Amino acid sequence: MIPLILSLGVLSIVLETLLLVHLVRLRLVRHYPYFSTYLGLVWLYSLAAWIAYHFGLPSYLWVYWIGELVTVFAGFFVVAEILRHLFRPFDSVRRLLEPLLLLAIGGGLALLALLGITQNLQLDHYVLYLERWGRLIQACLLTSVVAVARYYSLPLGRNTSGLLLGYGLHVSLTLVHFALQGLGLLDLNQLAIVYQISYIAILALWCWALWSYAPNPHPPRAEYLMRDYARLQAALASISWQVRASFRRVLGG
Amino acid sequence: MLELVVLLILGLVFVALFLFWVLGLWGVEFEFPPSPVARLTELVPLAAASHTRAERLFDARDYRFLTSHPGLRKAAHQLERDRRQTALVWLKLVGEDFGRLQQFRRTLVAFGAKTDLRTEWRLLTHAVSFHALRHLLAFWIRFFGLYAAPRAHTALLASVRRLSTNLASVLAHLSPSQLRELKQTWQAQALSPSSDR
Repeated sequence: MIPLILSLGVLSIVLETLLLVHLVRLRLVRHYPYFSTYLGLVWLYSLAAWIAYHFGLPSYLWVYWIGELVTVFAGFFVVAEILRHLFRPFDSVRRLLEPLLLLAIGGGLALLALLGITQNLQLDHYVLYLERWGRLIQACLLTSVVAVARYYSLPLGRNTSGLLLGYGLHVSLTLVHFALQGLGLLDLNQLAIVYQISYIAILALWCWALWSYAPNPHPPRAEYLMRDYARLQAALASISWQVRASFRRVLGG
Repeated sequence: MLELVVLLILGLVFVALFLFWVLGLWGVEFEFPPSPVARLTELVPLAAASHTRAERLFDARDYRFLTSHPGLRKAAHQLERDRRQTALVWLKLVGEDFGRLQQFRRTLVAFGAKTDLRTEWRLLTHAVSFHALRHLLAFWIRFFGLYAAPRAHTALLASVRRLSTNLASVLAHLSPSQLRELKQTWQAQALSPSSDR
């Protein structure tokens, strides 16, 4: 079984390499820089981990856990990429949402990291803890993106749909994998094989989705989105005014 | 333990949600690359060949409603006169659409699209019958009124649609680079003052 897992590992590295080379050749890196960064980091991690495991290097565990940590954080880049493309026709909406999203994700991750430190966990448990919660946040964000696209009838092109679906499935299957591993319901090697096969299928989906540049079509109507954006902007302006007024009262008297 | 069970349930729920989306049950629009007909209408916009608009133009229900009220007969005649003028303009535009499609076909042939004597003869007879029908309909509308005209407009639209579908099927066999080159050549021809229209 171990040779099969290693062979599947080689296949996933080959697909990652193919996809990366294709993104660079077709200059899709310009259009999807965040996803390309994520894929590059995942590729480096996959290669380093496979080499360390295959040659029995003592640094394998360090490579594995640090790599897992980096890929969890890099996964938020993919979410940001999808949101960037979804709201590309609406500059004003994007300019408002991007900082809010960065603030929410950064704040959430900082809180998670602090909570983990206070629990005094070892590196492997700490990474697992961050990975579970990080993937859960990503799954919720991606589901929200699909819900928003549905609600405002925003059409998705092949590239964005492929990214969203592929990464959404990857994150959800990772959650299931962690849970089954922890619960010990299935044989660990069989679980690893199924997980690797699903990851290879997701890489194949990304290869298909990103084979050529297919951006999101311009939405025919967006009056509901702009109406809600105006309401959100007004609410934020009102909150900002009230906060500034409170500060002035405190500092002035 | 509880945390892991909750994680498992949530993970399975998210997997199901994304799979539902794939199966099209979540109703998010997923646009594939444009169809060949859509690609053709991008290159050769057909202003008058909308079936819905033509049906409304030749629909006599408004006219009949107005004539059924004695006080509105004058308005009915005015409506008929206005729509007659619009129908004549529409016929002219349909003729221009057909001409544009024929010109595009000549560009496609110059680009290397296959043709033979039998296809050329068929297209020639098709073009002759289209223009004959169009002029006959224009004559009929001008002298006998819009609502006395036979419903020949559907035959005209069907002719335009048949030619569009044939051209679109040729476009479907071109590679993206050939399409780009064709688009540039076509747009340059369209902007040229000496273009044969």
